[in-house]
Amino acid sequence: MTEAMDVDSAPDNNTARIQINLSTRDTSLSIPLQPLRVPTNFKRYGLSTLVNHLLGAPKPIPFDFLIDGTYLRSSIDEYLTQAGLSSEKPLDIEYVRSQLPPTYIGSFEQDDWISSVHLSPSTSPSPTILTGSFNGSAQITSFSGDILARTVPMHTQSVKAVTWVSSSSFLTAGLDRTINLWSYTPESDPSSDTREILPTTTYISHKSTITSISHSPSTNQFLSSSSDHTIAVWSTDSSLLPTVTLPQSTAFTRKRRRLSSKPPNTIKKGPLAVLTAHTAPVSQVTLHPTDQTAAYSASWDKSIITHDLITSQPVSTRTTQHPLLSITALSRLNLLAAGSAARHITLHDPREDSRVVQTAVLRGHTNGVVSIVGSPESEFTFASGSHDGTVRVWDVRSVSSSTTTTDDGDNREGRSLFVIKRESGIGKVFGIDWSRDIGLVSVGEDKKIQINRGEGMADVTVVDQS
Amino acid sequence: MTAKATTRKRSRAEVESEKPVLSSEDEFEIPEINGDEDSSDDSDFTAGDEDSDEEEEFSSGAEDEEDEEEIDSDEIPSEDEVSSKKDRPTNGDVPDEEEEEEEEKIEPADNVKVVTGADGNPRYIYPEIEPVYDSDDTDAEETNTIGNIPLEYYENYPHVGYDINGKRIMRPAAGKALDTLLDSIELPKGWTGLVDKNSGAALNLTEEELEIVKKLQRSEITDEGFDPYPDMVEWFSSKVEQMPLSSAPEPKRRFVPSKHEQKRIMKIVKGIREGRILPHKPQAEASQEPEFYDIWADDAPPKPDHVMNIPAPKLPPPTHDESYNPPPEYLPNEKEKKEWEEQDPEDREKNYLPRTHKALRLVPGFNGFIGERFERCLDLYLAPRVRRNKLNIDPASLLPKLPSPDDLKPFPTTCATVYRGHEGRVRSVAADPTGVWVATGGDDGTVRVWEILTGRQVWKLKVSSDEAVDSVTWRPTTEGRILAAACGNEILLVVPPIFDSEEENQGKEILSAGYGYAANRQGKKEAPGTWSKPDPVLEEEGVVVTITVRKTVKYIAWHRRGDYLVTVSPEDVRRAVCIHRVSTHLSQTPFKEKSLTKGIPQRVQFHPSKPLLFVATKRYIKIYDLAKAELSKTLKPGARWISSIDIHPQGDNLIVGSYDKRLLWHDLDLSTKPYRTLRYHDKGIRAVSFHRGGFPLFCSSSDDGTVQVFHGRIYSDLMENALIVPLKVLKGHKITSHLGVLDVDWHPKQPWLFSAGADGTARLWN
Repeated sequence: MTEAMDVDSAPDNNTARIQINLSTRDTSLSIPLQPLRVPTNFKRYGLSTLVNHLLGAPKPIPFDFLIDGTYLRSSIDEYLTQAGLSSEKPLDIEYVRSQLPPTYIGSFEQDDWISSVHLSPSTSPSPTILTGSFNGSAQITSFSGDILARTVPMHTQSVKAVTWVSSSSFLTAGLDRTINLWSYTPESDPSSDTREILPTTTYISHKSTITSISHSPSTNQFLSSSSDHTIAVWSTDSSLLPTVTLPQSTAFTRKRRRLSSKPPNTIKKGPLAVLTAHTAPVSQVTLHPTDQTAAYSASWDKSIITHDLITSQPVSTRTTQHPLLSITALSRLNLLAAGSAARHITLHDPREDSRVVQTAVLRGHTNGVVSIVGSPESEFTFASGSHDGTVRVWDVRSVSSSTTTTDDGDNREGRSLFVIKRESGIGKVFGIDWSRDIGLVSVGEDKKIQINRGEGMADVTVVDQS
Repeated sequence: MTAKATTRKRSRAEVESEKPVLSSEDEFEIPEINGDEDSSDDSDFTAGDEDSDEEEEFSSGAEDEEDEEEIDSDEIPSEDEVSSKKDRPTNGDVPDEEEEEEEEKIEPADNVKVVTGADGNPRYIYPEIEPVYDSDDTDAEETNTIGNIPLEYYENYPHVGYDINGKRIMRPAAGKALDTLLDSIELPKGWTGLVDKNSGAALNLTEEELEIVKKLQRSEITDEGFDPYPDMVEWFSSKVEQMPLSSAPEPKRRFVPSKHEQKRIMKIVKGIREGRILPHKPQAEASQEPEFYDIWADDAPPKPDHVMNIPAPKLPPPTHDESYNPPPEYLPNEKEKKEWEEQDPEDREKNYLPRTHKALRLVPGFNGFIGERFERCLDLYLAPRVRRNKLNIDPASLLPKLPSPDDLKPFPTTCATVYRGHEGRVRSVAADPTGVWVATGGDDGTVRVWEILTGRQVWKLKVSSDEAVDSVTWRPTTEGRILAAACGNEILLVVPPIFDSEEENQGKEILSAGYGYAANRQGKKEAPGTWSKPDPVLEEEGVVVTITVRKTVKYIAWHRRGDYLVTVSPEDVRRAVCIHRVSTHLSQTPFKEKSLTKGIPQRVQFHPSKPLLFVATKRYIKIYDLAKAELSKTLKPGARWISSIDIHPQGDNLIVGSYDKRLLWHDLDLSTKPYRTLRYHDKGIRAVSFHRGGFPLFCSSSDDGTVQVFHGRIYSDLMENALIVPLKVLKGHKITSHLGVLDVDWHPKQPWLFSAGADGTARLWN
């Protein structure tokens, strides 16, 4: 091992020095492993300059530094004092690309509470926001706030889930137990009036509220989860699905029909398969990001079930302590992040050979976590929307082993990086989505689409807001 | 009479004094007489004189009293003068003789002995007078026996009292008025103004008596001739008397040297000679003694070993901190001082606190002196003192061991959702059996169904514009979603159009199945409830059947199978409790009209498994066996006004909420009295509820705006009593016009709680 390199060009005898080992999990930013001696009064900026110098990057990249799962927010000296460590021992520091705090960009108001949001895939020509509303309609809003299209009142009750199938079609599902496929062709002239779009296919299987839809572009399959404890497997290819008839209309639907214009006729289709592994309302289902045959679902029965879509059988069940309200798969980390009604997010390793039920608990929300979405930029960060009216951004790496062991089996806890509050200050957050083009979009009870973005803030010192 | 008697006595005394031998009393007088007679010339002469008196007396015995008195009165003052009477001696000789003779004659009668005296003369010896009872006591002073009665009482009577024989003592003759007047003008000598009590005569004092009184007033000795200031006789004076007082010769010791002294001197002389005594030995210098010395060094020498000798324990010498000015390191700091003061005197390691004084003279007196002395006295007295048994127990350890609420998770802790929309109070809340919806009924006459987590109202039914929806309940079965709502005197059975059409139709079929049945039985008997089709407006909204009863329905409870529902209308005294059967559209009152006279029913509940009906009146809970149609048990919770009850899903326990703030847990197996009383609410309890989905939770809601969550675990072991742990107070509802949380219900599967508040909101707690 070579002698530790002194960093400071003009060494000052008064400042104490500490040997550090810099490392990263990002292979594109790795530097050769060599021990460095830095003054202990270095802060994030000093270390960031040092890493940039070592990388020799033409444009400086802001970095953040993690020591033992905690972001360095003060000088190294203060950290050592706080953690009770000696400056004699070498310190292992992990550096990550700095995550900038998402700042408020703007918000667009709608008529009613907004239940769900989905951002257009990156393949689409222009970024659009698809939202489902409690008044039973879905809207497509452009990034500038123009309402590009609105669905005809096909849903008799609230829309609870929306998802883009492709850049020209999307799915809506809701309280009226049906899923509708809509086709939408983006118009060249955005200034034209809001178009009313028509459904093409109606998927009928569920007996209760549909809570989520998950679509896989590669196989054209999509899954829907429902409060009737089932998950249905569908395909956007209508020829694969059996044709069904619309159930007998009831008094309420008759009245609705009378009030509104007659809904357009659509093709009624049944599901490919129905998964009935859960014993309580299924709150969210998500397809495996890469494996087309696997899906994860979270339910109020506290379990996360891995489904095999080929056999339609559950593969494994992980039972947690609390009813789960949301789930998302962090693909490259092989982790599942599940939001619970008990106000926290648990991280799970879904692989069968993993013994621990959950690897970490992320605390901070004060109400049920209903929506989780991974970051488009970093595989380590994700955002969560909660009924407490906030969106929080989390880093999987910033998880430290807590001193108190909880009954949840694991004692690793994490704190959120950033907290985004509703600009309106009231109401719950019902859905969030995050894309590179638009940013972090959240919708909620305040009838507003709120957009936050973490750009153009290169030298902002990060304040821990939690 | 008295005067005469005294005279006679006197005369006899004179006679007797003449005689040389007399009674012993008289002997005393003899020398005096002799002394007197020494000066007199002739004793015979007087004797003869006396005799003549005697003779006269005897001779004149038969004469008048007055005469005799006259003679006497003449004679008595002249007694001294008798000797001067010269004419009598001539007469005296003869009668002298006669008298002697006469006396001799009398002698045998009077038992007088005559002996010859030393001088040869006969001497009369009289027998001693025996003072027998009836002896003559005329010589005794006649005393007035009126006792201590003032004499004025007798002023109006002729007598002044009574003598010893009970005879009146007459008032002495009082002078005439003129005499008294004169007397009053010229006071006689010695007049006192007093009246002799005995005689009633004026009590006058003689010169001598007055002199005595004067002397007494001067505090002088009244004895005549007493000289209080006699001349001093100087017996021992400076003057040398020529004549010695004693003529005894001078004793020898006055002039012979003392032998004893000589002995002592010789002893000293001997000592000097032998050199034992040094005559001019220099004194040992006091300064040679050390200035400081060990006062504990010369302890008493150890006594020889003996059974009775128990040497006193040797006390350790005092240490630094006992000094009046100890080194500072021995002084206690504030913390040590406080600790010492807080300790019990028995527990203290040392019974003093080291203190510092600048000088010894500044050391204050020992303040525990009296106490210590008292204790020492008690010790010497061997006084046993009761040793106080200190309870060194942490009070917390005496509390029952309740598990920490953290170990009893999950239970609702925070408000997750607020269901806003009702105008006015939310009266009732009920969670759907599937756990997705929650229904509320309120004062605005609406029934609303909400999505649980989002708090979105998905359905609303305006039942009435003026009457409140007092109770909503879901049919507790999974098929056919039917909601029962009570509004006024109507009970609406609704299938809300939020479900799958299959479920909706199923529910409608269940409800409409009884139409034909009810039609067949028309007119048989006046039923307590009328089943009818609702208005078309309501029917379109999902109402299938309306049951109309007489009075306002306050509460609805379903049977577990969903075929029966029981309603309470407390205003209807005769038909307060009604059981309605859905499948036949029939209503009946299960009780005879008079069986429920005591107390107005407040709540009713079906037993979760047995055919029992619980009816809570104001004070009692009556359990009716529906199969046998009899009252099987009456519970007495002791509450003044029961507001709500709920039965544990296992059916053996019951919780009762009352308006007097108490939550009572009844174990039906134990007693008719509550097993546990929980008083945690500040105001009356409005609703109580057990969790029916497997969590051992129950809760109570109160007018103080809080919902309190409890852990209530029942053990399958019958010996073990239920464990009740208070878990959480849920605060959030505002108190509106003294009403807080009016109803609570649990989520059927999750540990989530719904509450309906008077502030117009319902809330979900998780």
